Amino acid sequence: MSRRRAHANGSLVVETRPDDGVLNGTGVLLLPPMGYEDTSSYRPLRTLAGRLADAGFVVWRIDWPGLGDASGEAWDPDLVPRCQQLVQHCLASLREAGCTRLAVLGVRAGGLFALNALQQTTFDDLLLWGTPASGKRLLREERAFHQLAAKAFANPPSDVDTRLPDGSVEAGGFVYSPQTAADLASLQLGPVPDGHLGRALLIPRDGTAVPRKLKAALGTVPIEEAEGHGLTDLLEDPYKAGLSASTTATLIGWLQRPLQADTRAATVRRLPSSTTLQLAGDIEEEVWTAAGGAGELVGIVCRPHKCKNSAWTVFFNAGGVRRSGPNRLWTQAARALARQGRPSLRLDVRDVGDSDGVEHPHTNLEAMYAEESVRDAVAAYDAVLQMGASTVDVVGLCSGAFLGMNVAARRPVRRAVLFNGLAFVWDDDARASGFTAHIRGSLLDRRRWKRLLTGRIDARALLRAVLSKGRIRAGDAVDRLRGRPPQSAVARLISAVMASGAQLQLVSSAGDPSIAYLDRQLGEGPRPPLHILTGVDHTIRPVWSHGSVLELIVGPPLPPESP
Amino acid sequence: MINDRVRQIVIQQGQLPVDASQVADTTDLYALGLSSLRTVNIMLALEDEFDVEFPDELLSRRTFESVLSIAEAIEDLVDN
Repeated sequence: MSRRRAHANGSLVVETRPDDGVLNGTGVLLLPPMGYEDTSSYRPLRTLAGRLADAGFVVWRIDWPGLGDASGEAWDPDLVPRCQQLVQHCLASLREAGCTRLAVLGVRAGGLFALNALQQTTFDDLLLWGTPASGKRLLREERAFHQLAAKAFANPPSDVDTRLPDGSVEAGGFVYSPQTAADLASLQLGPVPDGHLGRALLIPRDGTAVPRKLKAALGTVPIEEAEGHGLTDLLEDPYKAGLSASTTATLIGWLQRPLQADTRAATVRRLPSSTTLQLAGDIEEEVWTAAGGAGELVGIVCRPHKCKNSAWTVFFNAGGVRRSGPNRLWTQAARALARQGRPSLRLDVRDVGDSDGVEHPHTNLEAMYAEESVRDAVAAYDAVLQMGASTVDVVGLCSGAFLGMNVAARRPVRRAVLFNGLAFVWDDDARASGFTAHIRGSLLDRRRWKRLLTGRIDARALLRAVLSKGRIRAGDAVDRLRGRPPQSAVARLISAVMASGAQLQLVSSAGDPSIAYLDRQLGEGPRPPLHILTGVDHTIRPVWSHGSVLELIVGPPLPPESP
Repeated sequence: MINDRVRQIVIQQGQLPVDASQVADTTDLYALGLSSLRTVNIMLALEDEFDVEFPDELLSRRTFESVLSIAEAIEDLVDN
């Protein structure tokens, strides 16, 4: 299948469709959840769009206003009306593009907007997955999640006001403003006017029944219900969130049923391939793509209209979180930088967000620390140089800190702001030992030589591992000759980055394992400055802390560049 | 009786890596790996099963930390 991305009504739309296959004429508008649920489900829903495209559907995915790469901020007072307008705009555009049948698949909050859209427009098929009975119920579930997760946060500093305006709902790093919460709570879901909808499929939360109120809102519309399955997996932590195969089969089978008698190929015009999002403050964003080792790499370039400054910043994924960053902090930081005149690239490395790679975020932690991901990160660095960068800052959290550190070790970096890095070298010594042990064991094994010579063993990876091991051993030997205790590979890496002239700013949440990691790896040796964030968890969810995090990233304004 | 119904829901919705017989009334569910997301699932399933609604002040880890603490909260909600 192929994907195209374009901006529409202030949002980023991703179209997924069969590459050469036959279109069945049905356009599917996939309305995602909001907040942390959107963060978790992003990659699995990309996979779902791909499955639907394989079955002949044209699928549009969107970012809600105030989330992801869309325009807007959480505190904007008109987010709900803008969400409503976006849904109407997308449905009209799919119709204009030539879709002969329209389906809307709403997941959680997305389902509320799908139902609400029926007050104004018509479509054929409605699929609701895990949609609560009302906006009020959604907010209650969000609030419950936040309160139940709150133990993960330490006590905030006593001199910081952590209160949010009355009526706000904070959940998992995101916030619904009082106006947004009120608008969501009063969103009209029914009754669906006669003739506005053909049929509906309702899939409840795992192990629960479809809310009665939801069925009542659909009135006389023919309803089918499926067993609730797969939502919990969809909303897991982003690096392990996944798509249920059985629910996917249910969704596709239900959508295909009315199409079986009609085998005519349809023509649906493609989404424009590239557009620019104009944002307040004279800044703009564009989709950036490049060829990566696993397929297409995707990112967002954010810059001022008349970009004269060549001091760029590259943001790396935080684990399985897409390019908008943990709690959308990278999008906010990128736009704050652009308002100071500084451009940036928010990158999805392979396997994450919209970049190609494995369909689900990583099945194990080690995959996020792969050399291949570092190469993607270096490719993004090289790309911003080609776009005119004279200096490059890097920003990352968790595995993104690993990427930032390793880019800084291979390319000149002005400043690296790295949050909660749990590993800067992922078992390099152990992995190298594994490879060299493999070589020793292979010397007398003809089958292994044959696999190496026929290319089934990656000879270059093998060579890199041997060289890596050699470098580590050589470094240890030099240390011993000089009478110093051997440095860890991490200490050498950090020393090398500091020696390169990069301003290395490490940031850890109080009590985060990243602090103990540095203690173990650096011992009494030289250390880069470490800033401690009190009262926040590993992914910096408390909303009160986001302002200070943005200040750390954006830093003081740079002096103007000479012409 | 109420404890057994709670236990079944906890096992089903919490997707804990143990069977029901290993979850005693006072077993710390979070120590068994219960996540916040699955706690919300448990809460919603309990509300369906017992036709109650947990007020905000009961939405804490303390309420959901064991079968016993959940059952006590449910009894209070049903009584009131």
